[in-house]
Amino acid sequence: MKTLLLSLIMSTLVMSQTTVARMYFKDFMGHVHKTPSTDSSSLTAVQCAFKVKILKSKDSIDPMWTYVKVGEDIGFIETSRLTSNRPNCFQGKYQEYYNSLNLDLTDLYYLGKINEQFVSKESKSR
Amino acid sequence: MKALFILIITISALSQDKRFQEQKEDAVIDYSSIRTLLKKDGLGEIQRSKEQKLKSLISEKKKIEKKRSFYPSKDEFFSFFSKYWLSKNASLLRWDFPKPDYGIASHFKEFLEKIGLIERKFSIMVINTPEITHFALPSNPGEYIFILSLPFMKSLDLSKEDISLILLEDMLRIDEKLFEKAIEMKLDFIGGQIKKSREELQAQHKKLLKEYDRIIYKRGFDFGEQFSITKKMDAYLKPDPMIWSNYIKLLNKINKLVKNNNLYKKYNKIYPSPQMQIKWLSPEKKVL
Repeated sequence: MKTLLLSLIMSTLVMSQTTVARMYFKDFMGHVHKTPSTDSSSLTAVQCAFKVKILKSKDSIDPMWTYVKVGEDIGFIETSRLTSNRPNCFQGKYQEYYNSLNLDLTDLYYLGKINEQFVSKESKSR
Repeated sequence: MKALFILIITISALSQDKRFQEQKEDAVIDYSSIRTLLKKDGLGEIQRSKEQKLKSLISEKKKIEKKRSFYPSKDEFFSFFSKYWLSKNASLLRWDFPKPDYGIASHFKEFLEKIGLIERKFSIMVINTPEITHFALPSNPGEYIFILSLPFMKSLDLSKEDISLILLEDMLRIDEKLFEKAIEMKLDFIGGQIKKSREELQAQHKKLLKEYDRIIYKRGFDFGEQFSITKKMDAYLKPDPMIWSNYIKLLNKINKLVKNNNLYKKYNKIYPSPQMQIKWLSPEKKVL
């Protein structure tokens, strides 16, 4: 009874989160994290062009991260990986090639992790 | 008499009605008046532009659908496939671990700018195995994917400048397309239309993954390739004697490590050899 009540309260709390915008995930693959850090555990993997609900957070969060809801999961996605316009994804552009890769859950997990593990820069003229 | 009179009136009324109907039909069939009206309103023009728009939309859709059955273009293929290879080798390379920002990328960016190599996009991944010490994977034109071993960096106690020198060597190998040239399978399918069955395509992916394995874990680079890269390094670094001498020091460090540490005995096979590189860089002794 207690657990039922607790879960009811929790779900009401989750329902009460207000959606402030809707955006798309723009990288090939990625993850929704439990806390605003790439080292935190992944709640779910997301693919390019996946619709993401942007939630209003009570606490102030690092602008590098966005508080989101994807399906039933609520967590954090790196802000740089989100866009307001529907992206032109590799998966869509090369559908037959992508389908032939027959990616399993492990592949999807690691493909989502790769971009988080890279440190990227570009040299410019001084 | 009365009946005859009614009959005559009815017939004349019917004939008049028929004439009126014919006149009405003529008026309906006369399209010219409508055409002029349409011209005046510009409705015809609107219709024509709508038809043209529809045509272009249909052809655009056809193009997109056709592209869906294409291999990724040259500008996208290698970046994708190198990342795919990394995902398939995740457990072996052990790259999925929490790590701080070592500041390698920022230093390398400044280093490239210092020696005049600009507009180079690069991504560095630190791996937690000595199995591969360092390697650059092919990527999109003007882009580089580097993998760098944390145990290797620690064993040599490498400075950021040492690491930048190693990355520059790897970058030059990519510029020379040494990786792509070492792939022993035809790559002319890239950017073309897919004419293979799903099974044949999957076999092709497997073959290319194996080629990556062979080059990265076994083949590496030959003496000729190493010689040309070392000479290029010489040309890039000579204007700054300080960096140039650091490069010689680095090669000496690596040479010592690979001779004394069993973990890195494969190094000379992949990058032959630090000892030879030092020799190639040393000024020739004049014979009197």
